[in-house]
Amino acid sequence: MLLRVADSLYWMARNIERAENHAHVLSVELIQALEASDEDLLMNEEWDVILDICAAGEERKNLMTNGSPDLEKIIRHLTFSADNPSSTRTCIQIARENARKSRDHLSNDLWMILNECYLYLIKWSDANWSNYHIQSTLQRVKMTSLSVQGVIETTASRGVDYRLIKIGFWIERADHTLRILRSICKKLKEQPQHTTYYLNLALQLSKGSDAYLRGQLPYMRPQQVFSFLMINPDFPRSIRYCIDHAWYAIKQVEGDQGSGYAKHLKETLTQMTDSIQSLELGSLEVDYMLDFFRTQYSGIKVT
Amino acid sequence: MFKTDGSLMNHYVHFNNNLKGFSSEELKEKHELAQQSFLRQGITFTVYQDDTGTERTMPFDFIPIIIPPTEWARIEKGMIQRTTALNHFLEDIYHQQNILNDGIIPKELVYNNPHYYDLIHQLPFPIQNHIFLAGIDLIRDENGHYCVLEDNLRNPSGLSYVYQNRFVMRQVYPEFFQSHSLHTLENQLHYLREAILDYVPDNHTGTQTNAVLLTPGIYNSAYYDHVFLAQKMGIELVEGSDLMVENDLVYMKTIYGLEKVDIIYRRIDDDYLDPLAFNKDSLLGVEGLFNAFKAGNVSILNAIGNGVADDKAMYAYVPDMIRYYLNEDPIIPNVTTYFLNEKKQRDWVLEHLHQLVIKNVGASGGYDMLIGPHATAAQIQLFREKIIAKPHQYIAQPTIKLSRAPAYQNSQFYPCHIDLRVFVMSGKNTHVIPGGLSRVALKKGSLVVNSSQGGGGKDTWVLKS
Repeated sequence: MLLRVADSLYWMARNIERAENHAHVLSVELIQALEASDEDLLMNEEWDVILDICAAGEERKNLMTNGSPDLEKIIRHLTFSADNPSSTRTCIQIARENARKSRDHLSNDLWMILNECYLYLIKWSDANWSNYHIQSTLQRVKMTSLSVQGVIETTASRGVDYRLIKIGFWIERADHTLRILRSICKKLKEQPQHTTYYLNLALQLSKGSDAYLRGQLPYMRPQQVFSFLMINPDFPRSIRYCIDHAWYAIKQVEGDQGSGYAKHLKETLTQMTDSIQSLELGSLEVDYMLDFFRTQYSGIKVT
Repeated sequence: MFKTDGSLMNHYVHFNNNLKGFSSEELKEKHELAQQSFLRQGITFTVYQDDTGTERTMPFDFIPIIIPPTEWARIEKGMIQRTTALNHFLEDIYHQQNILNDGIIPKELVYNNPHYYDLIHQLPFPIQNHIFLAGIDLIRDENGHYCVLEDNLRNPSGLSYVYQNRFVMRQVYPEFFQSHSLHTLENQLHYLREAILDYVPDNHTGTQTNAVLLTPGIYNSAYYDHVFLAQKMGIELVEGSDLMVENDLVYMKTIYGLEKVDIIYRRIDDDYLDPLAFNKDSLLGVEGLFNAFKAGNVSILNAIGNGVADDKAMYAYVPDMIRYYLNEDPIIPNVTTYFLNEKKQRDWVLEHLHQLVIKNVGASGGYDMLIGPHATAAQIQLFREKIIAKPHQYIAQPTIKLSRAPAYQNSQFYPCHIDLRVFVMSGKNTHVIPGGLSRVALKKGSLVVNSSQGGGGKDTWVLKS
């Protein structure tokens, strides 16, 4: 496996996952916004969480009109903007570029699904879109990611290519859950009276609501929710679950002969695993968690 | 498809009967579906002068070119004969140079050729074969006879389109296949896989042979072709930055460290292969690659220096090469070609510019050419001056007698000029892919079939006997 191809597969996967995650959080938020009035203070705060998760916090000022979130600007920035390196369109574009670079390692179905989504986004980027259309666009991005993963699971041989793609998906997913928790934690600290509201939001944004309610007591308490999203061994979007699977995939790639390729990634994951293992499970309270995020993570920075 | 008297050729009868079964609405729908299929699959090429939409698909025309079996048998034989002679020529001019010493080909045509590399003089080449994959362009004259228009012995592209055209035809127009028995393309690439491994370098030891396809990268106009070939041959698709040379050995950079490379099918031009040996500004190549080749540690396909044999001026001498090396008459003739550095021919050509095609011997892709019947007086005058200034740089060929085939564009049928690129693969054995890429000049009245100039593609059927 060429180094360049390994990088391309890894970043293709990360960007597909990122596009899906960002599409999901925006989709959730747009549905919430339907029920909220313009003056709804909590709704404005919620947009802060979304911008933070989607790495658009620094653009906050430019996305407001008269002190309130400007939906059209936000949608354009998060979905279609070519200038935003984390917009859904840019993520799909980067994923597609990487897929082109490693196209001889990918199935034609995978390439077509990704390419069609890219052509669709490019077509709509400059068009006049409606709220209804945005939801269908976000849905299309999510389905693209899920279809790509379906094709990989059902057709790819379990060799190095497959593992590298999976590492990309796991790392991005862990990073996303981490971003959600860090952002929600900040809000819980600022507004403890809305704890249930924000914990519920954290579960929705991380696609964990159903799994949480099915497997846990229906308490929206920080300890249970944090514990579920951080260390639950069965929930495929918990940080611990993602890191464990990434570790396993790295070991499979290295095989007996070893490889220095993922050295930096391994070091980062080791540090994360250690710090998660040392978490005091009995005291997953807001102050403790906020402190934990401040000292340990500011997103998984792996190049 | 039609004879000069307007009647249908026998081998198009079934097709025509099928065609009559479609309504104009169905044809329109299918046409759009076919174009979309190329876009969805990302089978695109890059137009260099276009700054905005850089990726385009080659338009597809659904009316196939159908070749009856006896005609194909002749083409196949002719193509093997031609590439064999061209290969003898390349081996000869980089070694003994008998053909020059015997005065068959003027020495200056070789020595003044920018694609002739003195550097490789006397260097051995595995299995003495310089042409791994050739693309020979054919056209048909007014009587329907095939003639060779051009030889492409460096980096001929389009093989992927042959397969994709057939794929789209089968998907979108399955009805047409019902009453025909064709040579299938499915197993043809097996020959290419076998052929590449015949080029084991002289110093190779051990049991494992690593072959790679070297591409300039995703922005190259033929990138999809490179992906397709690498995938079908089961070899790694590499860029220059993936390779490095140490102690005259070529390695690729893998996640497990360096891995030796033995055979490189390169799709980048000679000048860009190695900045130490050729163009020092090249960012595409690999430093030291030429030395590794010289040391016999790596094979480079198609061979360095093949350009001297597919030059538009050298083209006129290929029939002589066939007679000289093989002692045979050419099976498929050339198109009449006039040399402009000979005064008598030049004077005649300058008189008849409005009837001729003028081509720059060093250009390709439809650039720097004059199509006399469609040119303005100013354009003709410009080429007159160009020819007088640099007569050896141009050749002339007749235009008016090329045959045409029907195409369907903008909901109507009209006749278009076409050519056929036939692909010849050579390792220890030589094999011709049945059919090839039919390219069509889709702009009404145009003679240029290149995709960068508005040309499109057609499926090519070789009927079974």
